[in-house]
Amino acid sequence: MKLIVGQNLLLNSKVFILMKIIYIYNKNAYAALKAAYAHLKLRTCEDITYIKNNYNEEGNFYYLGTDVELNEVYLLYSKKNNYILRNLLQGFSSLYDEKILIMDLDNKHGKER
Amino acid sequence: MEKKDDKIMKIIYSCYGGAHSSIVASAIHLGYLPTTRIPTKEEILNVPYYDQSPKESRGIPIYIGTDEKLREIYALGMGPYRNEYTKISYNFSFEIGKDKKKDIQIINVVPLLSFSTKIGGFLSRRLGLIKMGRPITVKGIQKRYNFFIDLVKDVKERC
Repeated sequence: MKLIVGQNLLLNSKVFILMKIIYIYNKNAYAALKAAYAHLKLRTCEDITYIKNNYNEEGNFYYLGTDVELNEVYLLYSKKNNYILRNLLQGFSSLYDEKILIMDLDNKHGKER
Repeated sequence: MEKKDDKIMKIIYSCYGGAHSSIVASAIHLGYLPTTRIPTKEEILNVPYYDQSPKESRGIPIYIGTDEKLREIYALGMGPYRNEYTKISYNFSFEIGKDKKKDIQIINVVPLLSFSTKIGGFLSRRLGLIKMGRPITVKGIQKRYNFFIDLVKDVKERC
């Protein structure tokens, strides 16, 4: 049985909660792209110059694809990556009733407060 | 943050800490503060969330209320990177938010801040000297109050 209820998918009596997974980076997109594509079980482009030139717009959400559990995967480039950004994303997801998972590759939690 | 209907226009007043100017602008919008005169110190201090937001809650939109046209009013502190985070907020709403509706307006209130509000806010929120800082923020708000009224009137007409 397949039934979509709101943002959730009911498949053979199992409910999948659909999420937006956001990989954040603040310098080079390469690591974030690599991680996101590993998540999507896809191979990345190995050309670093191409990646640098194509994922360099600050504040832009780059949609990369949908994973096996139908979660959407995005890249977000922000030079100003701190707790305010994470609060902002969580706050807006709550505003729009979306579930998000933030994958922060800088992992600066605890350093800046 | 409890209200979640994405069909409704959302107006977000943003400032540095989400404790003074954005709260006052939201309060004027919702009629908690007068638009025909400068409010008293007590009136300003009685506004919900005035001089309350801790540093850790910056970035989280605070739901203040719903206006007469059913628009949701929020206050938001964005810290020092307002331009970058405003862009991210709009991008989130337009690209990731449900239905990707263009139903949001972010209003920057920082230009209305007077020097005394900045000093008072720093003393109260950053240094924890509330008794000293809070009255100074009120003086600063009262000094620029007419600008707040004009901004809110403009926002109400445009949104």
